[in-house]
Amino acid sequence: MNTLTLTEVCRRVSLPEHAVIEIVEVGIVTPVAGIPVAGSAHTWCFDDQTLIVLSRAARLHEDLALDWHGVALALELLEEIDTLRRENEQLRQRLNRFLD
Amino acid sequence: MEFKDYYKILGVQPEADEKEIKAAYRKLARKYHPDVNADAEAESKFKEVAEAYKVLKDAEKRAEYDQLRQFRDARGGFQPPPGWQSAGAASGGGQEADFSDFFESLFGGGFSRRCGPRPGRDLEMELPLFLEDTVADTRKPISVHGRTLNVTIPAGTADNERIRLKGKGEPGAQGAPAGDLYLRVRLVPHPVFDLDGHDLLVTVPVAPWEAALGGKLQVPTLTGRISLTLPAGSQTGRRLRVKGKGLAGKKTQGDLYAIIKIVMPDRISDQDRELWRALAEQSDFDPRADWAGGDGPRHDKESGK
Repeated sequence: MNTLTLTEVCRRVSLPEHAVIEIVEVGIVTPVAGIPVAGSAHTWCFDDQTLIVLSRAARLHEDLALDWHGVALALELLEEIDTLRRENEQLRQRLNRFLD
Repeated sequence: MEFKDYYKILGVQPEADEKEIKAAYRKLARKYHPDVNADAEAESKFKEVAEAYKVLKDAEKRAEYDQLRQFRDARGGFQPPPGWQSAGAASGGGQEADFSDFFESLFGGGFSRRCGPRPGRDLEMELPLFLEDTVADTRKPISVHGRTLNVTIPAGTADNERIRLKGKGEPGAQGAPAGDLYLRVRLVPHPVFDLDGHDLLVTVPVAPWEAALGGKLQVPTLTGRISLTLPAGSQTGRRLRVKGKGLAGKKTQGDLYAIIKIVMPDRISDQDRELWRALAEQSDFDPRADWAGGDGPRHDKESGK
């Protein structure tokens, strides 16, 4: 697994450092190393899978004019909807095997 | 060229004020944003809405657009007047791929000035996988923007997992590095097996006498058939566990559960009917004994006899 520094992450997703720090603070992504406390941001390391979450967060922030707390909530709810939808499909399929 | 009616796209009147335009955009954006709505049409709809808002939220561009609306023809076509030049457009700018030809012809270049080479964007797409593809390392051809990539899917890849392909996303501009491609694995429904985490479920139809007497069952797995012992007196819904025959995980190996489903024959011969009748007369089994306290079913049973 590749890890990225805060600077690298900011460059890849075209976000300023303060935005990424705020995103970490609201819990949208978590650094895989370096303790996320105030003033320690430059010791943070991110998993490369973080990039896709950050890009998604940045789009929602920009396009829907949500603040980062709103983005965090939207992402959590979207993930939950996706999980429930798939679980529902799977249970429906299992149910149908007994009803056929 | 097709004329884009930005007011119609946002569902507002041409006299709408900034506030109304913003509210209309926000509402449509929440509905069609590709990160919110996975429908195939949502993305193009969102781009249209975003383009309309980009023009109408900007007083200068909106004034230019309003002026140009007069050049629409009756069939919805449009040609900009000769010598048209947007005040906001910069000469020599690159094209912004996300906007329509209509937009580009009016405001082209004005929004796409950038300094230096721009790295390509990361892309995410869904990768439908058959359960069988997860048993061993599998190579799959994947088509991305006209290119075909041969991707190795490692054994044990799980539903919802992301596979990252470095540098296979959007190409960078002017020699800048390309973005990455993320494939989100979607295991497709299987005609025989269901999934519960890493466990596989297979529903096994059995005859009532098999359920009563027990016996050997031949049950499919992802890698061939196996023989299972059905205990005598098995109920519908009984789960027989076969350790390690589920989906492979990174750390654990799932199990296979054979779920018993008692089924009746489609046709019953006269001889079969006599056998069932003999069983009915001899047996004192009451499947609705739990209802004995209530008056409904008990009453039905008594009056039915």
